[in-house]
Amino acid sequence: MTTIGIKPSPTSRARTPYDDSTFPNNLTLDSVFSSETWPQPTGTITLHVVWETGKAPVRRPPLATTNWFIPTLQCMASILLTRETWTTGGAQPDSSAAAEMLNLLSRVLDGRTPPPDVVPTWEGGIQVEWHRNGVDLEIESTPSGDVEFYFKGPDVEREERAWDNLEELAVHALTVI
Amino acid sequence: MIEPRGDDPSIGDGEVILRRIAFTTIDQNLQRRRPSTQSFKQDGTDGLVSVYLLSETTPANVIDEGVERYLALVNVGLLRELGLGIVRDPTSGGPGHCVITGRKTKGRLNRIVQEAEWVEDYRPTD
Repeated sequence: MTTIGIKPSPTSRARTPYDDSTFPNNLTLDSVFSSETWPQPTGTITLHVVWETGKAPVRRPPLATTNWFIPTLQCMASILLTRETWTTGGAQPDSSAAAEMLNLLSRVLDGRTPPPDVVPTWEGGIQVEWHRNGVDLEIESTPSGDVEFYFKGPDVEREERAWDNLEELAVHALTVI
Repeated sequence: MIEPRGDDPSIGDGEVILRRIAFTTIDQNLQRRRPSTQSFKQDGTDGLVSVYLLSETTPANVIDEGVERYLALVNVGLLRELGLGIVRDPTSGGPGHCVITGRKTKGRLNRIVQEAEWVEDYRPTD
């Protein structure tokens, strides 16, 4: 059976506000790729995500019950397992970039946030994006661990480092709900 | 060696470029599918983006049968309006091959993909 393994990161630097006590350590691809519209890749990827449970300022529902988590994981797994990339010499998708993205999203997204579109980047990173409600929000993670976001709303346009501006990013992310 | 910030004035603002597109996104604001901004970010570590002048080639000559299976059209005038440039790169890519130069910020890329149009025969299904 092929699985997506989610393990604690050896270097924990963030505490997810989600209650992950019920989140499974391994998701089977059979359950993740339940729709016929998704490819059925085989193999194993391991995402080293900071899944630190415990006390958090705001208790949220388990990640697996949010609107965005499973669809996002499906897209990331599809990109990583099929090694979908650019034909003009782009790097292979990197699982650490996907893990860092999931780590960040768990910090800033509301459970009601709709799933984003997910695309690989030329450098081997991951980009998630929403274009709805009159705003554009893109978040890009790189294999080196950098994460940046771009937000454009009716009166504001911002391009910033994500980890240094978590509260601002969380506010922007609410606008796509 | 292509100047990273170069611009060739012999390429008029009214010219249209073709760009191969691999990854798209649904833009609910525009109510259509459009290229992801990643499609215009870079093709290499030098940050240049490979494109073709529509006046000097055809979509059929440019299209790739692999991942980059869609084709988008962008006006050269828009690139310059955003502070970007375009120069010919005849040493690779065949007739009409050029590269987009300049710093491709997310804001600039977002504007490009929002105004990009699809080549009818090479557009993604919505």
